[in-house]
Amino acid sequence: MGVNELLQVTNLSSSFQTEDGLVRAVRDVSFHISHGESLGIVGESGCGKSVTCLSVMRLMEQNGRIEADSMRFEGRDLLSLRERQMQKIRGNEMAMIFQEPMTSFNPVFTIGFQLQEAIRLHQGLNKKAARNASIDMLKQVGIPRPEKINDEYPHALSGGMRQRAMIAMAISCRPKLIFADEPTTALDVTIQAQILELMQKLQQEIHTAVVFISHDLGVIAEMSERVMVMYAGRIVEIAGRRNLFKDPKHPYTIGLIRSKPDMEIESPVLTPIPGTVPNPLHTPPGCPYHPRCEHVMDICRSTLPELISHEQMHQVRCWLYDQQGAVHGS
Amino acid sequence: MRIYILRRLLQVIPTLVGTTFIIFIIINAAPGNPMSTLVDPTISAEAIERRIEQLGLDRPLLERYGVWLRETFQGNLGYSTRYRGRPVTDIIQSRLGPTMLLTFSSIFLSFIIAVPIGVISATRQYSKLDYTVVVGAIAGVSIPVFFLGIVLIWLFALQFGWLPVGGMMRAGARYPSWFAWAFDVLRHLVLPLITLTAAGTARFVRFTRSSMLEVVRQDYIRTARAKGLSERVVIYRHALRNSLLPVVTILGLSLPFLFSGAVITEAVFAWPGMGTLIIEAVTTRDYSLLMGTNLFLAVLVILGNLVADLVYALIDPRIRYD
Ligand SMILES: Nc1ncnc2c1ncn2[C@@H]1O[C@H](COP(=O)(O)OP(=O)(O)O)[C@@H](O)[C@H]1O
Ligand code: SF4
Ligand SMILES: [Mg+2]
Repeated sequence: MGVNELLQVTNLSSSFQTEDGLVRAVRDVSFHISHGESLGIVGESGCGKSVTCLSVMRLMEQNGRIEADSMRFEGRDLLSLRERQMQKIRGNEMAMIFQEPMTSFNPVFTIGFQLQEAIRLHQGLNKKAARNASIDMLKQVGIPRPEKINDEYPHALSGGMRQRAMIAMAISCRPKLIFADEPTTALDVTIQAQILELMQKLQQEIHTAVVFISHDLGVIAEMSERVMVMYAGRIVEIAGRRNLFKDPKHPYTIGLIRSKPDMEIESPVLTPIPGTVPNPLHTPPGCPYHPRCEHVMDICRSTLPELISHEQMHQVRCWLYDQQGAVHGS
Repeated sequence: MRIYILRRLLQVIPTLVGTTFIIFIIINAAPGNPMSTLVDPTISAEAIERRIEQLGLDRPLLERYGVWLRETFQGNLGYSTRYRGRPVTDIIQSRLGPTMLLTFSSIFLSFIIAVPIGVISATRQYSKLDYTVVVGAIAGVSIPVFFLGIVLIWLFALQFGWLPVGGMMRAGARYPSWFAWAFDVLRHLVLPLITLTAAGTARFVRFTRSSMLEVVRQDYIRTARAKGLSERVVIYRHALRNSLLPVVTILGLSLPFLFSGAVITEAVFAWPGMGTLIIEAVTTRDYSLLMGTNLFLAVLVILGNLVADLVYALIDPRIRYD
């Protein structure tokens, strides 16, 4: 991990105070991303993918709490910045694309107004220049008749078009880092493919680092050079794309790959992972995956394994790959 | 849009006929008649009999309603028995001004007081300030209007003597200037306005607060924050506009509530408006006046709804009437 990382997160933990108790959504998560790189985050719904990104952008709801040893973004520690300084980063150097194109635009303002808001705020352009810039952005994301769409209200656009506009908004200030939080999950398959293609094209053109979130390994395989697998708020495996799909280590990763229909792997039979994700209020002790794991050992039930490097750039959190674990192995 | 308004206005007619018919039946089902409230013992039974015949009150109910309806469509609301044969339209017209002054200034005041309070309270949910506002609003809607009115009169008119007890002007006063007149009306307006506005503000605070709490949870608010907008812009530009959409509807729908509040307030303060008139009409069994004032109320409610719908379409781009 070099000093010129774009983002370096160390031991991030995020929790929510709720009526039922403390929800620990993200636990001890450390990762980094370099300029222009694409990092995928994958895991079943509720494993803390969104909260991880929202924490970095400090966009958590009021009941949320972030703790971390550090979150450095180009040398600045995001945790110690004032809210005002954070606002200068959001939308400008760091942007986010959300999952729900239908509800992520404000219904009472035009698409153009909402794009221009960010452009005017961060680039100090006047009304007219901002309008031109926003029309340019809409053109760049492949929206037909951008002048007209610019003046439309969100409800007049289809989901796919809105997501394009959302992407236009995210890239409008040329951010160094984009969090794309399941940007295609809400879209149907053909539109999904178009949006993914657009994002790949744009990433090459503007050379932005992208954290791409999905619960779908197929999408992640297309979009990310490195992949981080999360389970119950923790990272269970990080590896380069090639390594992860050729040589997955963690039983959860293997389970995800097996349950994915269009993934070629030795066993052609589709097997969904048995059981369900743990309730965040009652995470099982030890390895949180142990109730669903086919390789579960005694130590798994009592002690959480560390995230250890297996090979270069391939880290796993599982007793099967831990020397200590080998001792306990059955 | 024009066709929509026209259609809505046409729908008003059957609604009004239905409403007035029901009111007509209720009024006539109530015991007593315009003569029964006259206590002059020198009037003979035959004279009363004759008068009732003269007024047409001995005819069948349906026939009387038919006559009323026919005359109403021709712009004639009949004549008051209490006001010695003055046309009902005349009387209503003379009372409209004071009522409008009281209700509209109260709506306006409640709105501009309530919206900022509701917004601030919602953005600091669960804070001490928020709890204070919530408790205050509950108190505001629960205290009966007449009670608050009487307390205010007792305190500011009787104890301190700062403000008049009631009415809209000093009895028999002659004003040297337009300004003196306005000032006196204003002095009379203060207490009824406070009374009516307290309840209205409490209602609007509750609506604004809950609507705002709903809106700040929406995805587009997070999008606005993710753009780097300051909290102030997020709340007052992105959230407020959306949270006022339902408040506009509520405003239209709550016209009857405001109005019934006004009826009681007017009665407490002897404010010479529609409210006092309605109460007079009821207590003296002045049938024409009762029907006239009720018709007026019904029109007000229906128009209030229509205006709310139209304003909603104006401020919410998703809604188009065509
Ligand atoms: N505002 C919140 N209040 C309470 N719990 C929350 C909140 N936001 C997220 N969570 C919880 O945090 C966990 C992680 O959520 P999230 O990061 O959204 O999952 P995902 O991986 O599907 O994006 C979930 O259990 C979710 O219920
Ligand atoms: S630590 Fe144990 S339970 Fe957890 S994934 Fe590895 S083998 Fe399975
Ligand atoms: Mg999510």
